[in-house]
Amino acid sequence: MAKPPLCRTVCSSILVTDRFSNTAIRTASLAVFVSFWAVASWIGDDPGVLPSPWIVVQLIWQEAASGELFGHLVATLLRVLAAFVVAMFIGLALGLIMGRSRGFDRWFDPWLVVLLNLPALVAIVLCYIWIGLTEVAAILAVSLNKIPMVTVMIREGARAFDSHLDDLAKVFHMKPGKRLRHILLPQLAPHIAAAARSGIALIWKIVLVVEFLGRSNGVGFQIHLYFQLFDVGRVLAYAFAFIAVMLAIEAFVLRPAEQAASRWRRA
Amino acid sequence: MISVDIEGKAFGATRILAPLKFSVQAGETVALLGPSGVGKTSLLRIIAGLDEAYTGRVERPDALAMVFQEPTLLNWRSALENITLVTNVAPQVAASAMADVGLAGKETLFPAQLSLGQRRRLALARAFSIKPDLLIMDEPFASLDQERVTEMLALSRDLIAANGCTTLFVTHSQAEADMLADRLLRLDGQPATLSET
Repeated sequence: MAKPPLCRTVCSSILVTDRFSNTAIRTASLAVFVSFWAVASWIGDDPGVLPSPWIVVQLIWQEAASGELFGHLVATLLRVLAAFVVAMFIGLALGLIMGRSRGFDRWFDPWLVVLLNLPALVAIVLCYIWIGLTEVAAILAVSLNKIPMVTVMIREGARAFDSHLDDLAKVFHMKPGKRLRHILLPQLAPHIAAAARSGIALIWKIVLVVEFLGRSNGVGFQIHLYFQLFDVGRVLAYAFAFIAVMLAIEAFVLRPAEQAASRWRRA
Repeated sequence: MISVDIEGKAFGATRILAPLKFSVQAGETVALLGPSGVGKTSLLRIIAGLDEAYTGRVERPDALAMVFQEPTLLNWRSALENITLVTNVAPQVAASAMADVGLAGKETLFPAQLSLGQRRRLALARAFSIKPDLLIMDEPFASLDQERVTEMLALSRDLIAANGCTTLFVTHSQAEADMLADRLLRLDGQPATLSET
């Protein structure tokens, strides 16, 4: 039954108030973090070890003005996106098949356990040795680290599918593509969203290691460069610049996509 | 129209259904009665083609629709899409089917915005939208209050009459069976056997 206008008005004003107080708390929390950092930097009194937040902001500005920052951010972002798409696509397909087929699950579960316990560094080193210091090796290494986690999360979702909806699709002869799009994927939406959000956070950290070890551009490469120069300020500048990019992706891409997919829950 | 000749059905070592043989004529409405857990739904799933692990033979038309014990709706799609996406009928046909069950104007609502009675009507509209030759209903009025059950029975009877489809209807209520069916079949015992009442 549709909600009456009075309830809708009251509910929406409660939501606005909640959102406002949530934003205020987050802002205050970040302010406290920056204050701690500033105080620690002031007490340490050695910008070479821990520069103040203002120095890092100035360095970000300098790197951005020189054009260096943007190029490296884009290089890292493209690797993150490529590895994310590969990992999500393969993890989704494997998780769906393993969640739906007990035989397939029995066969491939041990592989999954092995891959889940394979250290990220080992996968990266092996990919670089076997394939060479190439872009393909870098993206494959990152994807290999993420695919098992996506597979496990999607498999759990696929195991919890509503069997009545399978009966419905069978009785009304729904085509496989339609079944996937309108019955299976919507049931998996919360699991896909969780895998995507945790995945993007993990992937960008591994991409930095991959760049650190074997690429000639990207945020990880720059961090490697400034690590060798003991330039903590620029290491932090690149790290915080990329964190800002990832937070923007989370806020303006992942969260709205998740909200759009779960619109029916709030109806 | 429907011809059923099965040698039995078992789950592991437990035999649920004994050999059963019956047929339903075109346009006939048959109620399948019996106590809870006797195997009514198992038999219905075999007839609907949802369970193929049995020995025997079932003949049924291709244009088959089913109304389940629960409304079984896609909660993430609108009421209209619950018909068009599942049955592949045009939106106008789906809207007309919704109007026939008293849901005109509710096309854009999600199932969660409908009452249980309205969700059951939507499931009925979905089934009738394809103009089925065979309609299978598995206790479609469960968990409704008596007033709603009476309404739904009258609505179902009118729609079946207008559509002229053959109907197989599972219930454990004699009153529901008397109101809707031309013929009653009773499933009883373990393994269950069929008798005409």
